[in-house]
Amino acid sequence: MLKGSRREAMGLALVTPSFLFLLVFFIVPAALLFVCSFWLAHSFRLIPAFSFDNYSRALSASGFYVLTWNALKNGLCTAAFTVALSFPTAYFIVYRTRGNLLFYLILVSWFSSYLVRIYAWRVILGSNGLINTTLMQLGLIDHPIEVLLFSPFATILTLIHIMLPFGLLLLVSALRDVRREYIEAARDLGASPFEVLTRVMLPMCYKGIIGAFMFTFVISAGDFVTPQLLGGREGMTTGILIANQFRSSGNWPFGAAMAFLLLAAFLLVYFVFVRLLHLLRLAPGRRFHD
Amino acid sequence: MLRIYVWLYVAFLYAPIAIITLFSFHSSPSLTFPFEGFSLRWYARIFTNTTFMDSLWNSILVGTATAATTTVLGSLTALGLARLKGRVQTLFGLLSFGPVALPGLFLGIALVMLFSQIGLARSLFTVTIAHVLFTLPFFLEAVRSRIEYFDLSLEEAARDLGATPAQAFRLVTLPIIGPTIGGAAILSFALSFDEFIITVFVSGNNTTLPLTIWSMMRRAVSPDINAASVLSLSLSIGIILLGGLLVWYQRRSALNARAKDIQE
Amino acid sequence: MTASNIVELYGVTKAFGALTVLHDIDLNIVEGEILTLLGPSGCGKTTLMRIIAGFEPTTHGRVIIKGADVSNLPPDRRPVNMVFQRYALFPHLDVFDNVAFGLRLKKWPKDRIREVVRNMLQLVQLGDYGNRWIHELSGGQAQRVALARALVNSPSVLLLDEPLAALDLKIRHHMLAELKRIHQETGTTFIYVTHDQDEATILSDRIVLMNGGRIEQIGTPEEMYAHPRSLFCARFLGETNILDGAVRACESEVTYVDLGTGTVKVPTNGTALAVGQKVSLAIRPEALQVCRRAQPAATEGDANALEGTVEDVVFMGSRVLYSIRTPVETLKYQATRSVDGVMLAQGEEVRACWRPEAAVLLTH
Repeated sequence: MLKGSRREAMGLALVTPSFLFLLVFFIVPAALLFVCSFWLAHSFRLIPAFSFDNYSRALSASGFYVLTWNALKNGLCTAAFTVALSFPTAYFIVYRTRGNLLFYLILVSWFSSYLVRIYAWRVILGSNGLINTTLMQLGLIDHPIEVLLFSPFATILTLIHIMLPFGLLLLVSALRDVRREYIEAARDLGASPFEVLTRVMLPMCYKGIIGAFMFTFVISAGDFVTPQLLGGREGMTTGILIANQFRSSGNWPFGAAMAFLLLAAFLLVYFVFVRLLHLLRLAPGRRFHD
Repeated sequence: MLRIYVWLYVAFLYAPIAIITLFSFHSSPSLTFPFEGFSLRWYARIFTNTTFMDSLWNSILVGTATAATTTVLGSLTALGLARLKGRVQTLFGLLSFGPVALPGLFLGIALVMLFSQIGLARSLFTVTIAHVLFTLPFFLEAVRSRIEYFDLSLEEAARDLGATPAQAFRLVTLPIIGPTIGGAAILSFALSFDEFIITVFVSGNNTTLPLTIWSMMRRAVSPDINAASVLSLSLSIGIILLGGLLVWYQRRSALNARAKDIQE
Repeated sequence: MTASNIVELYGVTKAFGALTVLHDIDLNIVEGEILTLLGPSGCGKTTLMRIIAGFEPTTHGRVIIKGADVSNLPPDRRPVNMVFQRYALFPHLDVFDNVAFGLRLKKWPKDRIREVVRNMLQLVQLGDYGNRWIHELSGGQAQRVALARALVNSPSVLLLDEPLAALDLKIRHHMLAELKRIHQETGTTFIYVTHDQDEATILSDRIVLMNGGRIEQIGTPEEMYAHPRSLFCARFLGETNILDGAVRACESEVTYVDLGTGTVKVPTNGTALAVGQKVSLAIRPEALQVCRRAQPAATEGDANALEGTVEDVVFMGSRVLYSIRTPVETLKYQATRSVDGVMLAQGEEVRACWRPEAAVLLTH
């Protein structure tokens, strides 16, 4: 008992520096941002107040809904494609390979610099880019396909490219818990390969799927760099709007309020997604009998 | 079938990088085929570009400071978490996970708000703070499985055999978790080296490498940026590979040593 | 096809790359029996079971279940079910839903599933456990759920892959009795894989002893124990004394074997042996009769004998184990303790005798 409590005291002492760091640079700033979302700005000066003006201003502008929908659309498409495209690869890595070489090969590409990848897609998709010029040289098209770049398509494609390795990492670690025995047991009890997927594998790696989906969703829906560089006018998102409030001499409280509204939208997506998995019976912990 | 799919998946990941790398050696400024020949002229230009070289140096500085701070904070935390149980551990785990559960935009604007309110001027120092915040969760996640696997009774056995707490740490704990911590430190460096979204809000006049590439991208497309991009990504990939090799080598030599012990 | 054979294997061969783990296995399994695949690890017993279940394709050979060739059918289309070594109970489902898993895939109506699953949980004595989650079960309970989950599908054959390996000794003995009871109540054919000879002898109607990817011997536990056909079989099942020698003479009924210290008699094992051929005798420890050398032995006459010294005495309750050093080999001798019986002491000079038919002649 005494030994246990001494061990715990030591443990608490060891985590204290990090706790203080997170308190000062994460919790306090987040709280400050929240408080500030109720302040007012007057000619670039912050005026402490308690006003819902920023929220009502955002919520009454139709543009805000369009931009938020764009952000959520980027996030949802990216997350859905990332999870769907990475799942077969994760399956292959977990059940069909012995070493980890392929896995590491994919993970390494995660470190190939975020901005560089955006730039690369711009080079590839542009109207003078690789795809268009190659197609024109081959005589397949007369005019460059303009929608390739500066469109939601370009944004989502690039975000998928950026998120794939991270999504894969989360799916692989979730699938590693689904030992081969469980799959064999299900097959033995009469499940077809598809039934094994829906009745055993997906429910068993439920947490990993939620993790992979939500991470890619939050990061891509909140991203403002990719849509700004590749999205064109139609691809404008709330993220860009918020970032602009904070970079150029903008209205900080208004930006903060929009940030919290965006966060609320993220939470909503989370609850809908979890509910959906439950309805599709892809979630664990639910009884099928009475 | 599945194998072909997986190779397509890998090809999709690497194709854009390969294309950029190829054109960084292109002798003409054109970014389209046909490829007209190899040249190092863009690299020569980038190496004489002082803005680029300064920001590269800044990135290395920030990366090193970040890796050092994150490693100290993260190692202490990981060792502390191994001693804690139940709710405290879960709660702290959730808290330390927070900075990556939110988009970088939120961290960026929250930090810039804090810095302006407390009157801390934006500089490489504030950039480092932001990077520590961003890399700490990754560090903890990277060392978590190894620390959980680490048996505290090993330390107790060392104490029982007469070691002081410091000796127990140096002789038992460190050799076991050392390689993992080294790997995680390198991971922190690489993450810091590439970080852009938060940095854009909290940096002052001294810019880091991604900020320089960003400003190059916003100007007209110039072939310089190919060379800059390739340098940047080969540095971060190189660092990651180095870290991976280091961890792999240490594990292997540890395993070999053990195998030898058993044989003898 | 014989009417009573439920599983027939013809020439089953399995190779993983260059490594052949099963060589040309022929085996019939009779409906309703408990058949054990016994052998040391790496003997191919688990692979053979996985081939019957459909998890591994054969390299050559055919698998026939209930008269139908299933060699090319996937596991979900074979009428067999399996109890896995670590149970593989689905952690995202409760006990009831685990047991109902197979029936739901067959799209049975709800009420019938409820009824059949409840009866099955009663059978394995877990009637009240339907709502438990898997992580709330003890090892023995998880074992019963795994049994129920497989049996509820009324398989033609139930495959059990070392099902007791993860349980501790006390529960293991209890579960063996439970398995026998459940076998009797359901009448299902069991194929049981184990490396534990005790489990095999307690449970089985027939044992298939495997070694190096081949079948060494098939028989009832008594046959295997009393008449091992190879040195491997004699050593693997129970304790045994092995005496090496050479054939002195081989008659139709009796073979004379020279042990170096003298010649002993043993029943001929069917094949005629050449004079001088190296052979071994296997004698069970309880088949020996040992008496002080001063006394005359009870069954002198026809008996074989070796003289020796008591080297070690281990008292094990109802039994006493002796080690007797003889010029040939140190013999293990097991005596039943009786109230008026005499215990031999360490260092005593003794004579170990056995009747010719107590030994088995084994060729190398």
